[in-house]
Amino acid sequence: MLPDRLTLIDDTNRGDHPYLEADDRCFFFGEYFAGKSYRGGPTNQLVFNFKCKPSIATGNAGRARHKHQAMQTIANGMRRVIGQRNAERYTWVPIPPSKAIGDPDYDDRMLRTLRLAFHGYNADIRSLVCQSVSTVPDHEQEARLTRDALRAVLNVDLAALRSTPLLEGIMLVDDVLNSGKHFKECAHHLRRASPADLEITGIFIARCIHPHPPR
Amino acid sequence: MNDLVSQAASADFEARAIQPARELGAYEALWAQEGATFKRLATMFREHPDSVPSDFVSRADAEQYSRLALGAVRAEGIQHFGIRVHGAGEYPGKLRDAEHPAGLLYFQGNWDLTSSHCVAIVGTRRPSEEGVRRASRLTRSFVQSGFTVVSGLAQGVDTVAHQTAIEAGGQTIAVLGTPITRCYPPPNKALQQRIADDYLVISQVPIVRYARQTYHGNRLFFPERNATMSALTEATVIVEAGNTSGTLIQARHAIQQRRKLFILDSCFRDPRLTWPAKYLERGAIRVTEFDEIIEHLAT
Repeated sequence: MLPDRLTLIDDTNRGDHPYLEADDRCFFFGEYFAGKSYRGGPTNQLVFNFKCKPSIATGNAGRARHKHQAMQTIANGMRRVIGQRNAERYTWVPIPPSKAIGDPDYDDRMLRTLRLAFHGYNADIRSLVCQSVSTVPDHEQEARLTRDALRAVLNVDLAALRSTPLLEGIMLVDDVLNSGKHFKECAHHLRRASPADLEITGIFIARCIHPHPPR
Repeated sequence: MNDLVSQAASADFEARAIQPARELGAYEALWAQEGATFKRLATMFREHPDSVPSDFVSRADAEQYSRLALGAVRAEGIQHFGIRVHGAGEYPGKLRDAEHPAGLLYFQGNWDLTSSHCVAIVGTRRPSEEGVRRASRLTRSFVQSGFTVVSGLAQGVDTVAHQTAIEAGGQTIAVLGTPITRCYPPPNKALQQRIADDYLVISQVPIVRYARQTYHGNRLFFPERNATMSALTEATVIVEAGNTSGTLIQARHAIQQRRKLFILDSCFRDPRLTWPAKYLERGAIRVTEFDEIIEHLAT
């Protein structure tokens, strides 16, 4: 179950997310402990199940069931904490997965979860950013994708962006906040394609904590 | 106060979100008030369900105390620490079994250790040689069985438990009777640092209040942490303790929280001690062999 309150990224915890700056507004529900997989506590378990790759879930009924339950848990928590008024006040945009559309492991879990969370509401949920080519997630490789490389593979769906006006602001939603690079780059692309004063906020199921941060 | 709480309850998710710096400042400000105790604060939170420290403190006070507390944290060279607030992510639900649960905790290190199987090993600050050997043996056995060994960083049995857990390649948690910015007893400073760096240190003790008052006022924080230590663990084991030992405070809390309380057989064989029989009557378990503890923990 998600907690009753979100937590803000502020001066006390921003250091764990090197790309985030003081004027970035990001919230998270829980903390994911890197390297602990599903053994790191309830949030780790939830995220582990939620992120289960389609190629694994397809051939494993147990994992597929756990993934579905995790989606439901996250959707229920978001519905409870965000509420109808706020759900209908902002445009909700998932931060795209690392796989491009068409890749066997393309997973629109966050989009589906938002639809589940705000089912029955007049919520504006739109997939506005996607990756043109698949990349290896940062946590699965040593040589992380640079910010420029990420910027180059992210695309804004201009037709979807301009189809109807954006609401009071964009809520960029993702499962795990790591360095903050994906949030920053998605925000960068959306701001370039939108009115100058566009408010963008990040909402994350968990922020990632590394056990031995560099001193 | 009621107005502040009702305002918060009707606010949207952004206004309700925990702002860690403000929340710890509000906690510190509440503690700076005369007559503040864990009992009084826990009662206040109980009477206002779904409230957080900042619901009871002006924004200016919260910001002022936040600056003071964070200044003290920086002055000690602490670069990484976190807080847990009741109602927000990762707050340990099992802490609610405490009589007067702390609404906010400071920590340094690997918080995920709180999700492991945890057992508290506690006892006198002046153990006998045999007591030291027993504490050490017991700790090694728990480590070999995959348990995280929790203690209070005090002199004596606590220190043996932490040190042995580390030497044996296990995991350990120190629940402090001081703020994370202080160490008691001073010779354990390096041990506290090691636990903060590589394991987990937890403290519910307010930084500013502790710095402002003398030992006389601060010594009250030590028994209070035993309630938290017991609540965070599956069981408490008492290795050795006198009739007036502070360890018995943890025994009382463990029973009250329905945690298993193990008392080593050697305590019963000391004719001077009256407390083992008393706690046995209240539900404690007398144990001679380590395997007995494991069997009880499995049920």
